[in-house]
Amino acid sequence: MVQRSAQGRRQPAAVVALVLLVLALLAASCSGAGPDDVDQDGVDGAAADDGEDGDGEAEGGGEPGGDPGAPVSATLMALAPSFDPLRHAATLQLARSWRELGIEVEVQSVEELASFFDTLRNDPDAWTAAAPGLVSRPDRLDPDPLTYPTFHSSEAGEGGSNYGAFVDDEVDRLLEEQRAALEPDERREHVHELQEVLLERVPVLPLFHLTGIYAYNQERFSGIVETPGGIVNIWTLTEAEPLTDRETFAAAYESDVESLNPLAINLDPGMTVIRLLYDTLARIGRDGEPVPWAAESWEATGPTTVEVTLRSGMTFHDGQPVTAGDVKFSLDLMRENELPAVMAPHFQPISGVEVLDDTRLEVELTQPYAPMFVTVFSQAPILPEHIWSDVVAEHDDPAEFPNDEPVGSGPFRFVSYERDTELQTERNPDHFSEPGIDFTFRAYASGDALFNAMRLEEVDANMFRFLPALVDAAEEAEHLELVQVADYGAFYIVLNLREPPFDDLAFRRALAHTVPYEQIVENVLQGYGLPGRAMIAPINEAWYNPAVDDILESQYDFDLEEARSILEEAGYSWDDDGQLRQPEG
Amino acid sequence: MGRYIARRLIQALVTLFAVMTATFFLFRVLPGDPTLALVGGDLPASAAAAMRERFGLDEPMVVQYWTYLVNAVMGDFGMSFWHTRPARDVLLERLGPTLLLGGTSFVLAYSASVLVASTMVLYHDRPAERLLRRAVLVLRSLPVFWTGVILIIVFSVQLQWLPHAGMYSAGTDLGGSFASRYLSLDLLAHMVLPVTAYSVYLLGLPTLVLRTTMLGEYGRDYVGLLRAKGLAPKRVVFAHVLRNSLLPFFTLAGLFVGLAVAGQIAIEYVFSWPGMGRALVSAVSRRDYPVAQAGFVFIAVTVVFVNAVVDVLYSFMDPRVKTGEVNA
Repeated sequence: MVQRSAQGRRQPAAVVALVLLVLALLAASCSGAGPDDVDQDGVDGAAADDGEDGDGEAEGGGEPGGDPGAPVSATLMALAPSFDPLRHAATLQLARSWRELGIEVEVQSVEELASFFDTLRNDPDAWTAAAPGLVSRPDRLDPDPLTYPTFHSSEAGEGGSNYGAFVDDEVDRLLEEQRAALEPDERREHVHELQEVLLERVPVLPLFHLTGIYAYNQERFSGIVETPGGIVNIWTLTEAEPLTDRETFAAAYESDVESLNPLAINLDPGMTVIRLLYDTLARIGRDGEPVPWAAESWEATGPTTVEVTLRSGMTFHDGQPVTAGDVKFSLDLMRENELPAVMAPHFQPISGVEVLDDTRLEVELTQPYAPMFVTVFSQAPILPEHIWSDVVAEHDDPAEFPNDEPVGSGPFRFVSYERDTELQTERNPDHFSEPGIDFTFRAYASGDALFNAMRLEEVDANMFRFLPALVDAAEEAEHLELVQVADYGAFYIVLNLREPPFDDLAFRRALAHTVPYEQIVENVLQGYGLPGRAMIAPINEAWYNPAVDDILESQYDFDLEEARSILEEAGYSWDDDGQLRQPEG
Repeated sequence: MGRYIARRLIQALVTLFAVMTATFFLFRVLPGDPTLALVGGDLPASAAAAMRERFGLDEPMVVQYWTYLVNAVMGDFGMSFWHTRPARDVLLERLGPTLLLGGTSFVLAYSASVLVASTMVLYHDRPAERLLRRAVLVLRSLPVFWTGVILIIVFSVQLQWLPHAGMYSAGTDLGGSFASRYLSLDLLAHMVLPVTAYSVYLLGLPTLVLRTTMLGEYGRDYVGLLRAKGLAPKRVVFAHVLRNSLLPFFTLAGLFVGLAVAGQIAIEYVFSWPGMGRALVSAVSRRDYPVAQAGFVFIAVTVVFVNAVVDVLYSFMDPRVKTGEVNA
């Protein structure tokens, strides 16, 4: 599944340039110049780069007072085009229609992710609207990570993820209910209602969901399965059939896995690749819903207890049986060490794991917590206790264990690994879902190299989406079948509700008509995307509410006239210069 | 002599210390939070704090600096944030591929540069030489990135004669032995394009430097004497002028090594070569400070060491240096 979104696509060249700059400093220092000069260079370079930090830019921006008749102004904060050209361009489009509406807009570009989020979380006076995003990450296939931190009132304080301080009792209630509903159908109802209420309250303006472009070698393999997030997934790899006598399916990414130790992996491609060697209790199904995998079934036996029954007869690659004890050991190990770091928050609601017998165990929760099936069951690898109990004894931090020869129980067995080159695996004939292929993961240094590898039939599928610019070239290659797969990450404009008139619902409803979706999708995304929804993308069929389509059409259509009349009705006015002013009295 | 070497050694150490300090602070003032880079986006405050603690990023900057200096002296650059393995290992296990690519290209480029420069001196200012001179200038000016990409497009994508990336074909069984790793036709095929691109990049500067030195040498009295003696021009150039020109050429080796590193990084990136240069680029883009610092310190040590060795050796080869008769 794809981790990074539009971010960082332009970075490699910049990074190489940076490395060369540092080297130039080195060369200057070593070709005879005295050490004093070196220090001097270092300081100069530092000062030059500091300007890009964005700290300075976060200052300023009009102070839109709450007084009647005051002109309406906004500071729109976006990541710089060098970091994410798509989000930046979409923000500019929005700024243009806000200006047309008579709002005084200042657009601020922040060069760097950390200072962007720092300003969002901790400096609410510095911005009135901003364009963050929740990039696709397997745990975000669950509706909770997309919505709860973003909209719950408990996150509205300084440092929280509800950046705009949106507080709404009904939304809070729905967020809590969906989190507590262990029954999928009941939960779905809450999630559906939540999406409608969010669109009514307009705490954010949805921008877009991306569409990824993937390709695979259709002359060599059939049975490719598209799931939210791409074509290289557990279903493709267990179901694909070779069409020639080359039975090794090679997929590639533009960087290597971080480690062979699943506890040290926080990103793709590692998340996807290393999970093939290990089993998880569940896997995320084609439509985004978790389905039983190593678990035969699970059942809520109380509001805060879930009983899990394992498949019988599973074995690790070294022949040892997989037992409930291994599952408990793995979950406890990860909980106690807060590993992998990206999953740590998801373990918090688990208070304990109890082994009932060889194939049954009970997970105890501090509170009813439905997201667990996606965020924990589908993500936490089952580690063999007989190997990892020694690891824990020998390493203070189990993430530091190199795990040079991973032993799991997954559908693929480890064969060999050469860093920055490839990881070879073979099918596991003893697995309950025996694959019809062997799998190799290859790592390239750049998207261009990856694409060449696909053209030259060195690689059969890409795990990292292509740039739209490569589509034409890919279509020329007859062996490549291009697939467009919608992405489940969400990009949106968060409105700072602390700033009048953004606290006024009528004003926000007017703003809902100011997003030029058609332009954004056609011009900015070059057709590879969808207008934004209430965080949950349509591809995530398990949770997406189809009624959202109608709401978007009637309440979020791009119509500045409609926006004007809503504002007029609410008492807003325009002065002679066309500047929008807040209602009098 | 002893004092000269000692002075040179102290100079080298001071330079290294300065480089280590500069790289440490350079990475910390660059925008970019390592914890965000690790998870590819925003992270809840508590999780970010836990991660900072894990990697010691919660310590005051001065403490981090001191820890880094003390450990670095003992060759410990800390844990790579990205790989959760010692940063030194992350780099050093890629030393083999880097030496293979760099060493081969270096030897090829420098042998060729001696040949080309001598030829240019021999046919000085004839039309063919002028053409050759321009050609060398053009090669020297080509960005190494660009040369690499063009070679890939022509020979890998269009003609499909040679592999475009990496060291080995997909599915190669490397086993554990040195032979299976470094002695194969497959590896040789993978080396052709990167070595060509890199050698072309390396070739220009030494050729032009050597040519200038040789021309200067060619104008000296002894050459006239040799010519008057009836020696063939070829013999004069190769046996005498070249030999006398190699000494100043040799002192520039330190400079060449420094420049070569920059080319190596670009080449490894373009050809997805699994070497230290690629690891360094990845580390910088991921804000993996420990690996990046180890990488830059490693480069600095190499360059400073080569420079120091060259200086010391030079004073043996040409004793006038230390008495100050020649400004080398």
